[in-house]
Amino acid sequence: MKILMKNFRKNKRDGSPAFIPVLLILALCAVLIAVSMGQVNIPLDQTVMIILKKLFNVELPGFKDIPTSYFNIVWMIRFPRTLTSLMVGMGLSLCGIVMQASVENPLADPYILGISSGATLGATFALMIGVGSIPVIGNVGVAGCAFTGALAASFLVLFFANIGGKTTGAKLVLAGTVINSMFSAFSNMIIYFADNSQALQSVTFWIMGSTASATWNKVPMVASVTLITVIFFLAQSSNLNLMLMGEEAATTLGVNLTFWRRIYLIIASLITGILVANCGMIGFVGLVIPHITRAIFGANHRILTPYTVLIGGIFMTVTDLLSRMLVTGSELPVGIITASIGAPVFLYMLLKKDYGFGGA
Amino acid sequence: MNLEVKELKVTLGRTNIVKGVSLKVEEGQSVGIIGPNGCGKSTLLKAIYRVNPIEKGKVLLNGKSMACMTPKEVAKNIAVVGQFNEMSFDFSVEDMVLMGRSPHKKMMEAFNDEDYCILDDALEKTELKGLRDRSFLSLSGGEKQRVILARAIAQKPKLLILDEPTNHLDVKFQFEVLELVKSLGISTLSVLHDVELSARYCDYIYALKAGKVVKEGTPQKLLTRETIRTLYDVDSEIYNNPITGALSVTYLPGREAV
Repeated sequence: MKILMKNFRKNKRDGSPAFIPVLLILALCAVLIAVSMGQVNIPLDQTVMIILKKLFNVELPGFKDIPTSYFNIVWMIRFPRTLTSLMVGMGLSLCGIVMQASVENPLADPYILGISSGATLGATFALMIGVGSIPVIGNVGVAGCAFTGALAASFLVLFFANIGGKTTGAKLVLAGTVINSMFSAFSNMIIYFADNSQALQSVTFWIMGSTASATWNKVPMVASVTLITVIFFLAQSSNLNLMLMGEEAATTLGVNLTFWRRIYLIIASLITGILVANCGMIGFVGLVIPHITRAIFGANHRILTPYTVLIGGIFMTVTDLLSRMLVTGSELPVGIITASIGAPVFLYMLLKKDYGFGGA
Repeated sequence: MNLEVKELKVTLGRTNIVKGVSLKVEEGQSVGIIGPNGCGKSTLLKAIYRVNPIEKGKVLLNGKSMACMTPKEVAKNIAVVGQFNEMSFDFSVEDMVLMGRSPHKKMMEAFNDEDYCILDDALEKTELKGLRDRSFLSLSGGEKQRVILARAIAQKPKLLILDEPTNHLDVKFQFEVLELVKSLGISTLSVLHDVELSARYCDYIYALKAGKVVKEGTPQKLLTRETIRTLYDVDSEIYNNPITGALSVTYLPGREAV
């Protein structure tokens, strides 16, 4: 690690994040391995052949010998799912950085602005009361309700934090906490009164998060939203840096803090809403990945943002693979794995002295 | 660059803190504000650099109202060295100082050789060259203050606003910082806790009490026993120090006013 850091410092001058190629290759490997492995192990070369054929229409010798079942598993089930995991990891960790900078609080994660509880309320409502049977709203489904709930919650938070004129980071976090407990209370009320054990199980599964429902028709939406947001925030690194200087310093260094903060939070809420609506709530990624990356590479967003996004993507791809592999014949919700890996890592960093999480 | 503040009023919460203050900073002039704790010095400065909302009155920069300027435009002209520099996140000294260049950059623009030259120069002037790779949060209070000053220098402002810039500094750096600021040759508006320091480094001083200017003038004219008495409720003796020749203040607390 020390040598890595030294090398890294040398490269810093020209502002080029030197490890991007390495991480890109790692990400590619992670995706390929995740697609090959599972209940049925498929040889890596056959996986590559299937993907090459489908993506670039390149047919390597030997393609004809691949069984159709392999083809279906790789292309119809695992590939869209792995891509979704990659995007979710990228998106959530990106939102983590953005939220931490916007509210200038190292504790912030994509869920701090009440987004999680809003989404949960939406999903609980859909699953327990059964919107499926109601025309029009029924088509929107659980995902749509969760998304609406997430957005409603974050707009409420922005609204409350803005009362009294000046929005501060502290006010945003507090408003988020209030909305969180209020919405959780509503969800619990619905769960308590609705007597539907089957729906309860799907609510539970949903709260724990999973990419199992990923299909090809959901991938374009998730991928395009994530990639566009990543590009947008890569272009904003200088503003994000200045936001970390504190409200006063950011203002005197020329950032229109109120304006950008609102824009960033709305964009981050939107993307979190979409991700949560598709995969449920996957905790800890948005909190832990930015901190780990910051501990290794420093807080400068010019470098931090691309690294965090890639590391987040790799992390989710691998944990999703684990969620399929750990228990034979069954599947663990991925949220359980991210939390059980994330928490000890976070603790380790807390105990290590040279990363302060902020409080010097 | 000249700054003109006209009849400025600032209310925070329900308390009217600055009650109609007017002041002027001419090109290249170094202007000081003195006054007791809670007289509204910092509140006034914050209103000028647009962190506090202005209730009434105007701030003009070269005759142009600052209310119509974008934050970036203001940041190209005014740099601020504040009193508190608490941060929740850590950066290297070099990164911190480089951020002073950002108002001069477009959204995606990377730092170029010129920026790095300015960075080196700012680090040199503040004697921070040896600390450039250190993490900001690991520095001492005085070193942090110098980093903030270096950032302000890198900003290449035309007006520098200083809010108790010598707060955490050793005697050596107190003088060095103020000498350095003076050597930049730009207009400055500063709040200094130390009356002797303001007498030494300011061309013109405004004395503030309870949100109002009670007296103004050159240090020689303004600093009298009566002024000190009105501002701080303390008796004093003011004289030209026989060794340095500078204006000196000796406080005589507990002595009955004559």
